Amino acid sequence: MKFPIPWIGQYTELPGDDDVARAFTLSGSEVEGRETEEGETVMEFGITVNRPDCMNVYGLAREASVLFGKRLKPVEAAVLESGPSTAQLTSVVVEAPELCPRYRARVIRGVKVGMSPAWMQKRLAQCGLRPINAVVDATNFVLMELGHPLHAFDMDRLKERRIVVRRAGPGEKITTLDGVERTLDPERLVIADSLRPVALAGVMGGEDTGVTFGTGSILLEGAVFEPVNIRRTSKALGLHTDASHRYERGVDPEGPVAALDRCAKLILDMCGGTLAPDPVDVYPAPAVPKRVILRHGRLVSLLGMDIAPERCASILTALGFGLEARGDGSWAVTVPSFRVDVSREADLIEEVVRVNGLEGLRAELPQGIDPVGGRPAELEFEERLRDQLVAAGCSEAIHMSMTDPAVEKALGACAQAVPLANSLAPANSVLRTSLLPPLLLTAAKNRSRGARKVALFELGRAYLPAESGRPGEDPRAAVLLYADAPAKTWGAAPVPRLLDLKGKVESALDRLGLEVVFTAAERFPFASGLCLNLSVGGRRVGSVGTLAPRALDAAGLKGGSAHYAEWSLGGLEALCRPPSFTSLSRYPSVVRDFSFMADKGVSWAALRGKLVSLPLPNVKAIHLVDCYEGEGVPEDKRSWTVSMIFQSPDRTLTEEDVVSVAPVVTGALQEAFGAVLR
Amino acid sequence: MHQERFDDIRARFAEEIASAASESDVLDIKGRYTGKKRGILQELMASLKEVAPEERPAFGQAVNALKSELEQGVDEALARVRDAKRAPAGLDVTLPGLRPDLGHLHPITRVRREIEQIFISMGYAVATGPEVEDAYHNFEALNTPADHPSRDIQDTFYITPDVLLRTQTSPVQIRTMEARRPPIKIIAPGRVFRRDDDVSHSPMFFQVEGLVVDRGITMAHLKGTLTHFYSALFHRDVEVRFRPSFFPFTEPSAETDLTCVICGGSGCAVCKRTGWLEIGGCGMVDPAVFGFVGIDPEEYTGFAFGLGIDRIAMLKYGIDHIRHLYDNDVRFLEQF
Repeated sequence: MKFPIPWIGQYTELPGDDDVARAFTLSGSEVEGRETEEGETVMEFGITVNRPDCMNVYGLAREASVLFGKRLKPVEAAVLESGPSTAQLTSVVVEAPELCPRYRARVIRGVKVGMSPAWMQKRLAQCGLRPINAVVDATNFVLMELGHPLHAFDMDRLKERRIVVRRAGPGEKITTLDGVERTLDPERLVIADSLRPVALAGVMGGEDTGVTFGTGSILLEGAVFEPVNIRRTSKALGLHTDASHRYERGVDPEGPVAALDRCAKLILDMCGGTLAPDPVDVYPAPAVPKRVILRHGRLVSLLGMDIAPERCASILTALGFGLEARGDGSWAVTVPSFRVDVSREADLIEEVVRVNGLEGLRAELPQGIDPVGGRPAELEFEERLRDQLVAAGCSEAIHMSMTDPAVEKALGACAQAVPLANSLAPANSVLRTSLLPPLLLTAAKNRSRGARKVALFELGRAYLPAESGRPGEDPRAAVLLYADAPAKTWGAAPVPRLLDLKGKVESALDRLGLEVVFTAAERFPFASGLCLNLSVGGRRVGSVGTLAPRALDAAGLKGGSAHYAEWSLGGLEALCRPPSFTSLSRYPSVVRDFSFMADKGVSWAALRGKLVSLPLPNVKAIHLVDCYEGEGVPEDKRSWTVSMIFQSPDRTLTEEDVVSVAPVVTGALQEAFGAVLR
Repeated sequence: MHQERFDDIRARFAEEIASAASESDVLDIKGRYTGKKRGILQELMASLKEVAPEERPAFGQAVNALKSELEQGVDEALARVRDAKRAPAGLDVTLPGLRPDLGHLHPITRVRREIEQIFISMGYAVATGPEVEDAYHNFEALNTPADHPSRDIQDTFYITPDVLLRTQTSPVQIRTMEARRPPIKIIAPGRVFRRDDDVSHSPMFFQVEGLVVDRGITMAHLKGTLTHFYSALFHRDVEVRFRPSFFPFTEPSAETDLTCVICGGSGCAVCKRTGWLEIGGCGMVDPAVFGFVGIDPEEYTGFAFGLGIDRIAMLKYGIDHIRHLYDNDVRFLEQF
């Protein structure tokens, strides 16, 4: 909110601009900008929502007078009244007092409306307002100066020259000052004449009854409206005005008196006319000043800083609070009507702190015995998984939780993604049900920027639709490997990247103490025959596989291959087994390799399953050393080399121990798979 | 006179043995110098009779000494050429070392862990909460009623009128106080969402919330905690300045300013020449918030603070644009 400094300076003595800016900033109304307009300093104030009383020149002058210890001058609003009383000229009926606690009106007759003088136009321009005519400008000027919204009606255009404050009828219409016809309902409060709405209460006036250069009589409205209703109306109609901004934050219930007088004086000065005495004031339940107890001891114990009682009292008094010492170190504080934000002891403490400043506040640490801190197990598990995936060569990505519904769908999301009611862009309009869409889109983006391979992982939540309307959040991990060409390793055949990924996932989880079981599966978006279920503790938690080409198409990833794993993390931390020591044998181990050929259809899982099931004494471990097909091996066969490690805990093994195993192995493989030893 | 001959033999031997490349080279040199038949030393010893009688014992000793010196040289050369035969040769040692294929942690994770670690060392527990929140926990219980302008401070993504993407990590305060009684000492890092997407805002970013509730907690404790924390985080002594402000769930409330960690307070482009960085909000827990969770504000007081992990990461690593953080360009990620 922009206000010219010299205008504030009319009401209290100010130091230089730098001091003004610093003092306001350090007391809660941050000066966010400073410029020179028409040769004067104009400052942009960041006034917090709780301080509507500061959204005007006089309110800021009041603050400044307290901050700099200077006198606050009164507003000049003495008016000359003559002729018939206001009540003889008009009437006001408030049919909805719950939405309009106060409606005060003044009438000026015989005005000649022209343009406002240059000094007023300058002030309005400095606050960012356009001049309209002398009367409208006067209401805006008072709005900026005193903060109370006013509205001027062309009284001759009010049917029966009277005001009715009521709820709108269903479907009732009004054309507001901005030229838009608006259809209303009983939730909207209107100012009406005897026939029709003439203003949207607290938001904007009507076009028909606005003051023009031809206006001769004016009815000036100074009202108090209920904030929530104003806010709802403003939101419902998409109409945010200087008036609604203030009304929805709360105005001073006593504000209409001075504001109307001040405005009437300005209009009389500019346009002539006569002001009717005895304004109409419908104010059935005058606001009762709030009284709050402030304990000095509480202030000291909350802040951890002693501010002398005399200092507290003088700050609050200067701010307009009434203080009555109660003799027990506390005060009964009367809150001025313009401080709608203050109703509790904590609010008063803040007032003292705000003005006193917090420079004297010491920096201390809380004393006492700390509860045990740290990360809960599931978070610690996530951190360790991150480290393992980094060690496995993957870099961590962090994506938005929102993603593109079209990509979600094309990637075969199993559930309908939850849409945002007010998304910023279609590409970010649903909550991801899987980490795949953002990761794959990122791979495509990196590819288009020239990256030839991408190894990324992410830990984050998937958001799953639920009956309740509130999506479930499933913590997940995902790894994506993309390469634009098959991997090559020195002197070796290309490594299928799916096995690379499978190994990374297995190794990362193994290091965390989880035993992973993979079983073949078929599931989009994975390519047929290249998908595995990932299970831990007998429960399927996710999938690993090579993505189907059409899944890559969905993300605009051209060429290459992508391999992807995603699994749920929920509960895994509880299954982690810490390392358990096995005693080390004092006797040497013996390694023996077995090479054999089997039909191509025989899988490693089958071979290994058979070998593990055999009664092989002293065999500690079985490893796959080589799996080969091609030159030297018949078309329909694969050649295997399996390494077995023999070791005994209580003796040195003899050649006989090892040799005796060979016929068992060959016999079993021959019988089960027709495999022949090479 | 004799000395010259000795030196001459020693020098020639040294030259030959150094250039010996194979075992046979070395054995050949050995034969020529120390061989029993017509070895150079043998001939030297034979010249003993030409030496004056009183010098002969010394001459003999010198020859023997030279002999063992040459034999040692032969042994060393043999060890050298035999080793060379077993070790691979011809490596260009200026070739780059092979670096293991390691990944990189996201800068947000790095900074988040640093922040967590500092607070954990001060006895804080790490807490989390849902990212999809209800309006009660995100707003109402944080003293931000419906139809109040304080809701406008944060533009919100809604799923239904009552279900939204949390705009702050503060609802974790409420969930923690609903579940536990004081003393409470937590930090809550996590994703938050604001309906805002421009040069300096991302619709999703990361915050850390802190909450301490106990008997006798004061605003001085808040200042001390943040001073210690920021000094540890930026590895330098920083000063914390509280500037009164407004947040619905704290009273008094303050913006936290920090001595600029780039210029140390003398003024630079990062701090807009003020010497201060605005780094987060904080305050004393509003009694109304205690009311929502059933904690007696007369018995307990507390402080809360919030800060943006993104902002800290950008400051720490000199990242010039928030957009980089969630773009996941591998050229960016691999810098961390």
